[in-house]
Amino acid sequence: MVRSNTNLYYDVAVVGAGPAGSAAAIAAAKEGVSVALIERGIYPGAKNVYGGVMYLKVLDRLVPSWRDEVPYERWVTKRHTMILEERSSVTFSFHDETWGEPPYNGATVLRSRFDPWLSLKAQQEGAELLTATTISDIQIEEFGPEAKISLGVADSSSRIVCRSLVLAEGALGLLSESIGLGHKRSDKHMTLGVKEVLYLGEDTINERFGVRYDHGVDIEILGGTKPLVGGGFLYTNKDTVSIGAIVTLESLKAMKVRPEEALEAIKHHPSIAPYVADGKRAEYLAHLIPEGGWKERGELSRSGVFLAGEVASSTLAAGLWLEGINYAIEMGSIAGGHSARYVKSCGKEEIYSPYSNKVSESFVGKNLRRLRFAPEVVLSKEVQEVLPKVVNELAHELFTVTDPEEKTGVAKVMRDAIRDKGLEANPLIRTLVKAIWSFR
Amino acid sequence: MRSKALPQVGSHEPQGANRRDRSLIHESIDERIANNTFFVDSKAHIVLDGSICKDCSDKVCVTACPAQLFVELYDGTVGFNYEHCLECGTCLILCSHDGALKWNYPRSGQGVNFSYG
Repeated sequence: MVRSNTNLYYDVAVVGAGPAGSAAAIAAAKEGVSVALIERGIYPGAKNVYGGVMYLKVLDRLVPSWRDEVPYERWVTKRHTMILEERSSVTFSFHDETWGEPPYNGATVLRSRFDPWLSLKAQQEGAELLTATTISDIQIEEFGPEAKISLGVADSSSRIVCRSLVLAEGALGLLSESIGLGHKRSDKHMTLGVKEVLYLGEDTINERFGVRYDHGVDIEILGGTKPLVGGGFLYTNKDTVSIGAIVTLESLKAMKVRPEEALEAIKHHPSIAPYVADGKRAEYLAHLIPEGGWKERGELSRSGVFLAGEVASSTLAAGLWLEGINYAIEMGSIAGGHSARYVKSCGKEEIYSPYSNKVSESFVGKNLRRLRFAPEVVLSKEVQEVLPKVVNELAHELFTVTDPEEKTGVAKVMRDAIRDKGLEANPLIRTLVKAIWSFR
Repeated sequence: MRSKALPQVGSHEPQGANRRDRSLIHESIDERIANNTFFVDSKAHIVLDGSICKDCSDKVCVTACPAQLFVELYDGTVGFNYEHCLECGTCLILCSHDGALKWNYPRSGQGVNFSYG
């Protein structure tokens, strides 16, 4: 909280102490400027919701010791992609025991533990953390290449004044919007995730999911949310599981069905229900996800303000790969370093080496650009509705023994699965080609 | 500071035509959020002008809000309570009527407080 009637002055201010914001604060503080890391929750992570796995190799440069320190829940060693139909499912699964050992691959974490840890790293580098501080408005005065930026604090008459600002404010981007930056909020490319955390106990999780030690499972779910369009996830934490549904806002609008209905549909699906049976609900959460990716990212900077994280469309929702925190951390780290050098060079850094170029040249820009058409394909009707139907039908026909009838050939099974359902092969083939092209 | 879910008579049940025959929802929203923590701001962070909703044929907020904060009232207006808001922003994006919703985040640390994000 910020006291009234005392303006605070910093070289760099960072709004939002999530992964992008804390990474930005670390990077800026390492450059030797004064940094404020501003968080509206009473602690970092109090307002954050994610459904997922963190891929933290990106921290190697910022926090080299992260492998020994990060407050993780489980190292993910099993990754399933489950395609649901009403009473059946087809699952592609991959198990790699080496992911449970250094250098690791992905981890499940709880944000109320992870985010405070990363913000502590920023404090150790010299950044000042201001929690319970909601920024209400931004005023920018420009002086040639330089700017003076002043932030209003809700519930206080004092202002935070800085020379460069990193906005890592999350999916909604209210502040970025007020100064014309960031992605355009729209029901076209945003999805709603609703999540429940269920307590099962460590041993029960190990038994049900078939894992040992601190190893965990990541189940990505396609379909199963009818009549809403979407999918879901099931992740193992240490003694709880996170289960959720992710549905498109467009379908919420069109179908007039509650998002909790999709969550319950996933929880009750016969392929999922045994995993979560008798789980005691610890919390119910919701969060919007900007899934538009590179194409929807909007402007990332103007006069000393730089965007990072979800507000800068850092989420990679490409079906095969569902990442975001790692991109947010990298983007934040670029933004933090850039804003510090912006201050030190009196604004010239942005002229000689613009922020958007740095993002473009990083692995964030490269991957997001490369997969820029993937969100469209993943959210298309063919992938969301037709694919689960056809794949499950195919598996059913192939694996159901037909005695005393003769076996049907694979080619005919495929033909039937597509045609008898009143589906056309062409849109499917077109989507397949598009998918291969999008993921090339 | 910690608020418990308040019982709200009938208001959290899906209404009439919107309710599907085979709803899987067996619990009220109050049960669903029973273990959530909210530090309720004395000032509403979202303000709804329910009279604008009278002319809205869509009222998508009523079904789309994951915390079921919007209720269609008998006279066609929409009632709203901000207290158990999950701060997701779904209403902000789906509402197509300018000026119906004034949307801000709660002030200084108040609002929902997640432990399992």
